Amino acid sequence: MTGLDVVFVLVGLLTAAGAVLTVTSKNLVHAALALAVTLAGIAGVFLVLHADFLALVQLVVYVGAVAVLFLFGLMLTRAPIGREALDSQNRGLALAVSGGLFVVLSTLIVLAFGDVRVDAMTGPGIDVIGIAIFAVWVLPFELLSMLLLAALIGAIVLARREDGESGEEAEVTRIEVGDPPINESDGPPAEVAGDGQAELPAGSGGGGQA
Amino acid sequence: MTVLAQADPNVVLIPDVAWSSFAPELAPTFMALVLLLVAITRGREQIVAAPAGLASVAGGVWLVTQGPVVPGAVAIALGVGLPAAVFAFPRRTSLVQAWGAGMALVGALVLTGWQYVTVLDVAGDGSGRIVPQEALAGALANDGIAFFTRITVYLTALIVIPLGYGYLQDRRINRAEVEPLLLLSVVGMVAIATANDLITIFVALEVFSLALYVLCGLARRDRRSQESSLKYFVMGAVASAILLYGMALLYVATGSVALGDIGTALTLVSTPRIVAVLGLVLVTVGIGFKIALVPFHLWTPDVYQGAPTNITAFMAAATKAAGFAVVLRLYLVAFPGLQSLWVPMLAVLAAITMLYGAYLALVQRDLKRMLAYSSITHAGYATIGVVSVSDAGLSATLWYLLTYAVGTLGAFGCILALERTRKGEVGLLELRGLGRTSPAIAGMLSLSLLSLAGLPPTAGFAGKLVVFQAGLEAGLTWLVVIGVLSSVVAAFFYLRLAGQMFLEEPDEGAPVPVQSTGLSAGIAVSATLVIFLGVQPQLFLQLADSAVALVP
Amino acid sequence: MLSEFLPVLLLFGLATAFAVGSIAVSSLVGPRVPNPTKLAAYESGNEPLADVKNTRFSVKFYMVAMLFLIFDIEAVFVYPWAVVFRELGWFGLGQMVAFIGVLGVAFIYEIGRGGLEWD
Repeated sequence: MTGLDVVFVLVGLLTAAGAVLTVTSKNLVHAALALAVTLAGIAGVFLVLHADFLALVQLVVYVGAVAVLFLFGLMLTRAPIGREALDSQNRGLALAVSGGLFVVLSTLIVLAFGDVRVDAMTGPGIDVIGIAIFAVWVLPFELLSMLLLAALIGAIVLARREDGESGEEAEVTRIEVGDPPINESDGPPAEVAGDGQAELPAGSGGGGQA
Repeated sequence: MTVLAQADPNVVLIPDVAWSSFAPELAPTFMALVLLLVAITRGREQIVAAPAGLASVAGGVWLVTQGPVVPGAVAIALGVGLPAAVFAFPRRTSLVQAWGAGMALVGALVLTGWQYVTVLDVAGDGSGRIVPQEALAGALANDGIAFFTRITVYLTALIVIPLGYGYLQDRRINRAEVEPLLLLSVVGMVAIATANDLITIFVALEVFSLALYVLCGLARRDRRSQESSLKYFVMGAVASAILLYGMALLYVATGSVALGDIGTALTLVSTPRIVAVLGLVLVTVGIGFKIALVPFHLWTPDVYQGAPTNITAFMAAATKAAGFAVVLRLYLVAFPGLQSLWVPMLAVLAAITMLYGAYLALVQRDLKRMLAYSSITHAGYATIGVVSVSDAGLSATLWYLLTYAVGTLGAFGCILALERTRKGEVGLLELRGLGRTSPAIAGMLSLSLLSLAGLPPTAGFAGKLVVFQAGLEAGLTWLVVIGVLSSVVAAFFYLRLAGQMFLEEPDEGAPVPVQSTGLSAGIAVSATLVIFLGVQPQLFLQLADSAVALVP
Repeated sequence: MLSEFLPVLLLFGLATAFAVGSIAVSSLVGPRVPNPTKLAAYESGNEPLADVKNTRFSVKFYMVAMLFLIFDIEAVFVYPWAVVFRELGWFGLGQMVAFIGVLGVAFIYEIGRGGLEWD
């Protein structure tokens, strides 16, 4: 039992504990924080596997940004924070599916990698990764900049307050017969509340057909 | 190509960048960036347009002196055109953006043609096969699939821009970011059609999907638009996760992410088969979501109905083209070793899709929803071309996507005209008597619906004919029979719409649909293409036939 | 290489031990005399004003987090480039300039659209 194994066991226990807490805690914010612990534990696993750059990226991006976004999303959307029941009452089915998935995945992984010794892995250093990205994977790298650009535009378009909005929840509106046409140079006129013509609402229409 | 190429950091292989392989994408990319900067200038667009135009002209002149004339000419034209548009339409930012985006797409089409002439069509007389080109160390596969998808996607975007311009104004949709997002989506779609390894496919998929998620939700005060964007995003994220897991399993099984290497590895006996099959299934699920195969189609009706109609038109036509490009490339390059597995699987999915889509389209009352179900059905027809694993099947699918695109754009264009007048959802009731109040719109809508149904002499008929032919040649007679059955059912509801338009009396006080310049131009172009492709399909059919050589 | 992280592990262990230990010791050894003033929520001496359950968080926090994430990922990609930029030469520089250029356009757009305005 080398030191590496000891460290891996500890980190693995931490990750597993965090994962168990995520799915069993009754408070949604506790669950999000336990998820952050789990992701940090995975960064530790990356370190055990000699992938230091990946561990860094995991900590910086996942724990530092994604978990934070998770928490903001919880708070923004008035998600139930508290001891309400968060189950969908499908525990048996969920247990069966996730248990089956666990069995399949562990079998696959053990079959594929079961005889690789962790000590024998040297792991790619950050310099090899760098060369790989910029000499071989040029196209996905440049496409990634487009992806980040699209994400940024989306964040600004969808979250920005428009002129005339109060910041409260917007009513359902459509333009109505009799609305004056607008020119480009004018600002947007006041919105008219109310629905369009009476139609099958999308929800019941979808529920009826699908 | 393994994931990490070499272990020695002192010897770096700089890939030779074959600029001609992705030259058509550069035009929309740069224009998207410039239009984004124009969007914030609020009245003084020349601050951005003049330097950008100058840089583009300078680059174009340099290109012309260095060798390739056409790209240089395109760069000069764009560099002159954008400041000219700013000069011609002072302070009308969204019109400048629309013109800029249109010019960029025309430039991209010109560059695609140039690429075809200089790089792909080596025989030089248009009759030879397209010779595929590998670039960027095998990450880019510039072949017939890429060429056809480029044409379809650029053409679709080019038609959608004038279709939607007035509509976006009417609905007061946040207009400044529409064109850049549209161009970004176009770039992502073309990138996925040229991608030759799993990672590039995934990143390009995310690029165009993300742009579409945002575009769907742009009518911010309409709850259905928000619903559409949210549903598309959540389901798309889950599908992408499943796709990525399938790709990871494929990498585990074959040791490489390049499609060609996966193809050869899957034929070896030493590859663990169960892992590869699992990967194949998961990848099918993920991609099936994008092309809306049953049972991965549940997002399509709500998303198509809620999104702004010009975005729906773009999604219906272009996302299918990009999705099928990936399907073709994946299944014909990377998965031929598992053919005995995926051909029956996809064939059954196609059959279910065709029947289900046609049946459910019958009971819809809202036109956009009905067209959504019809697009699901058309995905089934196009899959017939995929499962008939042959050159004829490949060219049939590519051709079918083009004909489907022009028909869909025409139909959605007419719905746009109606929606702008009714200022609400367009259902079957609104079509009553349209033949009397506005024969032009009714005529064009009927033409597009006939094309979607597959009746001669429209483009849809030519498309279905070729696809069914390919299916028959491959021995999938049962699938073709189901396809014909589903076409009959679909034709029923398309003709019912046409009947409602021409044989019913209009309601009192029904307003005449809007006839604005851009809208009429867009619909007219679509209708013209429908007729042209239906009556004279030889040119594009020949192109499709020559498009069958794939990058190994 | 992994042994370089041993001090980090030690620091982690020490921090955990200190935190857990101080709480444990204080709960075991310290006197327990509850008092309503001591048990009230700490709000710098005042009563808590906002009803946390029903107030709506402003979206500006989300905007900050989202923008941070995007530029964070950009920074993460600069690290591997910075390690090997000499070997990559002019080509690598061009790539990185293109990447940062696109995100620079995004940045200018965001400034112009008021994404950095707090209100």
